[in-house]
Amino acid sequence: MLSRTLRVLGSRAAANTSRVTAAAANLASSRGLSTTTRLGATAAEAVTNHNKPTGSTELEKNTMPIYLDAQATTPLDPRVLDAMMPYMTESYGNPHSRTHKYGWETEQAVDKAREQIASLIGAHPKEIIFTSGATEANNTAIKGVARFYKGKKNHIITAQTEHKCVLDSCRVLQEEGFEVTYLPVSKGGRISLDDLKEAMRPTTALVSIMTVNNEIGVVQDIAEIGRMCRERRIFFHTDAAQAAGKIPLDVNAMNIDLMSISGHKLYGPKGVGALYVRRRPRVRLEPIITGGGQERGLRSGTVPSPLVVGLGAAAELAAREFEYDYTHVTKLAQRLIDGIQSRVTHVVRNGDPAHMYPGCVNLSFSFVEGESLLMALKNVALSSGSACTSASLEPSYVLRALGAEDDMAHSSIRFGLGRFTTESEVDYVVDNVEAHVNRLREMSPLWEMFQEGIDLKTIQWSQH
Amino acid sequence: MSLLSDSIYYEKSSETLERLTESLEDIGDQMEIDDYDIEYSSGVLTLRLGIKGTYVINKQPPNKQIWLSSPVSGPERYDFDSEHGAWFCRQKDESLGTLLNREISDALGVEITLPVK
Repeated sequence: MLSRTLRVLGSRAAANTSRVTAAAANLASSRGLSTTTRLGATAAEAVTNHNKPTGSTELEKNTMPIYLDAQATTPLDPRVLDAMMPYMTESYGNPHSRTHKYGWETEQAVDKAREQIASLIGAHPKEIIFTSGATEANNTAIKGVARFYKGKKNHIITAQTEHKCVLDSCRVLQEEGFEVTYLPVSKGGRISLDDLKEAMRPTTALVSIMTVNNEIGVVQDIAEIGRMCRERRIFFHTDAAQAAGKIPLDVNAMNIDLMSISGHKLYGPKGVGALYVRRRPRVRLEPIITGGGQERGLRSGTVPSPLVVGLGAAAELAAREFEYDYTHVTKLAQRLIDGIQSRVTHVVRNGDPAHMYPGCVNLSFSFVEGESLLMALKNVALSSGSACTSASLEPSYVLRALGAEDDMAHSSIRFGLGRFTTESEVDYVVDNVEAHVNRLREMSPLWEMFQEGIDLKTIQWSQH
Repeated sequence: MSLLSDSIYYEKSSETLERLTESLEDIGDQMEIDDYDIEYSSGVLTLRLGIKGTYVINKQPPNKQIWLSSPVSGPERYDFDSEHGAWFCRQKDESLGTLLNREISDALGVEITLPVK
């Protein structure tokens, strides 16, 4: 097993960066795969095995930037890779093959993964169906529930700050004749429960509100929303892609009927996710992918056993190391925010600080354009809410929904901290942010005018 | 062998099995019985009643029939009778709905009526 893993890692290392070589070297030099990367290894052990750039100039050319984009994706935890390996190599059976051992052993692994995910969210394993990711889970939940109840209920409620796949699913349903209410959010990013109550009708089939927002990290009052929906027998779906494994979730305590989970936000593999579908009281939905009837007929297609095993392992790790991860990320976020705010003026944190997932820090730097700051911070992998960094060239609709002025949306940077982020990386980032923000501001005519006391809002910009 | 057309067979058998699934699920939810499980996929409806046994009701498209496996009365095959709009087995001249109502009511100790004739 070890030699095969090293061969795989080795060949990738030859083609790729020094990072993988170092990881492979770590694996080899340690007492073997069994002690460093088994699921039983601690998070601290996993962190030391994960190669990091030291920041010294020699290595800087060959290493990858510091990764602070945890909301976009997270690295695969080495222990998750370890759990997946047998299913990528020797145990290649189709989990739906009933007639031989290849199928049985894979089916067993898939069942175990189901249990691991169910236990992360307080559900029953029968209530978990595997999908290709949270996008598919969102599509299935929203379109599936709406279409099933179409005759009797034709109204859906969601929020303006939801992920594009949720908003787009709702838009598609509108074209099919459904009515959709898009709830606004406060400056802090949360929906108002009074607005929600007012929007609810006897014909409302579903309420879909994400648990943790991917751009600003704000956490909605899920338990209360769930309670309100249960009272009125409206199904409650939540996109928990950024929340699962990061904040405590319990589908029963929070009255959640449907929940989307994403593998690659949880230090698991890409290409896999899960949808929780409540059985008591039963949630019915029309599947969007039909065929052989796998996953209780709700999602046909061969279940990708290696990916699913990875998702299960990632879920188990997240549950086990919840305290460690949360403390780690909170400490780093505090260090980052305090560091920046003490050394740079006119920095605004987007989102309600009282209801925030600490691992997502979205800051707006006045008088500095987001993309230019991102380019300046070339050794740090970040994301921004500015238009130029999105494929559609529109500025972040989430920040606009918060009521942020266009210029603040353009100057926002999202720092995503995770299990593998280190203090020295945060310190490096703080130093660089201070240096580059000041440098960019020196160059900015707006900053100059602001310093002179001119109110920028009074300026008449001429059209060229 | 029934003279039913393929599409009518598909329609009627799907309708019957889906109705059975829905009503049995509702009964399960209301009654909260231990080890009660119902699963319908790929045309096979499996109803587990814990120690009372497991019922399997499935489509059999080549014969245009519905087949039943009952822990109480054993196997049976049903053909669709368009006149009565019900699934009948020739030997016992009894409909699927009648048998299921009787046997499941017995097993649960409660009178139930399924929306299937």
